[in-house]
Amino acid sequence: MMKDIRNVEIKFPADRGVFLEAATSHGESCVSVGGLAMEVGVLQTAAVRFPRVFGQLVEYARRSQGLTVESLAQQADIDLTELVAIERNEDMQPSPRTVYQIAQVLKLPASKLMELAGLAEARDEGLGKAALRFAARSEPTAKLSKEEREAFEEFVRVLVECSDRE
Amino acid sequence: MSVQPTKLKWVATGDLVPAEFQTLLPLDALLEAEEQWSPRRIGILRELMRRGVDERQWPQHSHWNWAKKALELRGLNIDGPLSPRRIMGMRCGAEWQGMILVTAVGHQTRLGRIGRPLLYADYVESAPWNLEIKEIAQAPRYRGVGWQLIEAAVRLSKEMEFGGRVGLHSLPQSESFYRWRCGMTDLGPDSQYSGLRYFEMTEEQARAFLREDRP
Repeated sequence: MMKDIRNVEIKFPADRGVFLEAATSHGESCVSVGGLAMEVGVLQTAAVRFPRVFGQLVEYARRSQGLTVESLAQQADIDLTELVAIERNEDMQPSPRTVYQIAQVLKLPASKLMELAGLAEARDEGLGKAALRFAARSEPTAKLSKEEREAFEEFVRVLVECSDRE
Repeated sequence: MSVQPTKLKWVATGDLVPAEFQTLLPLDALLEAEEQWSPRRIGILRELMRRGVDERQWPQHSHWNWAKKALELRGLNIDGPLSPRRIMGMRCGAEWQGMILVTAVGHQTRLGRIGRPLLYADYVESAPWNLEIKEIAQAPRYRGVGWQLIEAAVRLSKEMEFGGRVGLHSLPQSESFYRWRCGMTDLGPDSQYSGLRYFEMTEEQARAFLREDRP
């Protein structure tokens, strides 16, 4: 049976010499961790940093390839309701498999899509800027306008460049 | 409340100065520490911005506002009588120098024999004035906080009969501390934790960390 963590006494050795030497022999580093921050929603995820961008990108890439929602879901072997939720930017995080499958069908770099979907920490500033430019210039409509297509194509170009640099 | 005497290195003089380790704290202590640290964190951010330092060089946790999350934190029953969590902190003078929150449930080993209990570090922080920030020429005030926070977690893990096993999800800027200073194993990014890398200390690594493998 597990002990009660709040009733366990911690015993520090009386002679702290060797431990103080280990503790103070280097500069004080950042020691922050993310467990509690994740649990209470303090941790800023890529999905928060790139609001709506992942869903928009999927929708635009699908439409630019002339695919319906149903045909993309079928080709990617993913649940139709999950794809609809992604494109509607509903408050949900897709599974890594879903993002990977979508990336394969739409021929987009999976690693960058993972970052936009909030499944991996974004490490490339260029991607963040491109995502914001894309989000600012695009509005969901039935057909891609010239401006939307240009914004989409520029964003995909940056995605591929970021991916190539890895 | 259990208090253990220890020391920190005052960087300005190189002297070891008395400090205390409080090994059973209420949630209010964590919020009090964050309140003490907040003005300096804001000062650091202002200085980084003023000097035009790239955002990627900023302390990654500097924008976290724990005070805004006080309700959620209270909802976690962190310091209730049946809580599986425990807060410990280091104090020097009137100021908190560092704090750690650990939990005994919800996480198991991912290394070696998978699924054994371990102590999971939910929250680890050192006071912002203890960080060396070269971009704004900030020298640390005290040394020895972070290492001793992890030492307390490893010792508690042993007392819990977890063999010193400890797990945590490190922020990118803390990875080198856990990898090299603590000797923990890096198990790579965890998609369930926004891609933060998961680190684990095995029983053998715990013995090495506590210098028990030395004659």
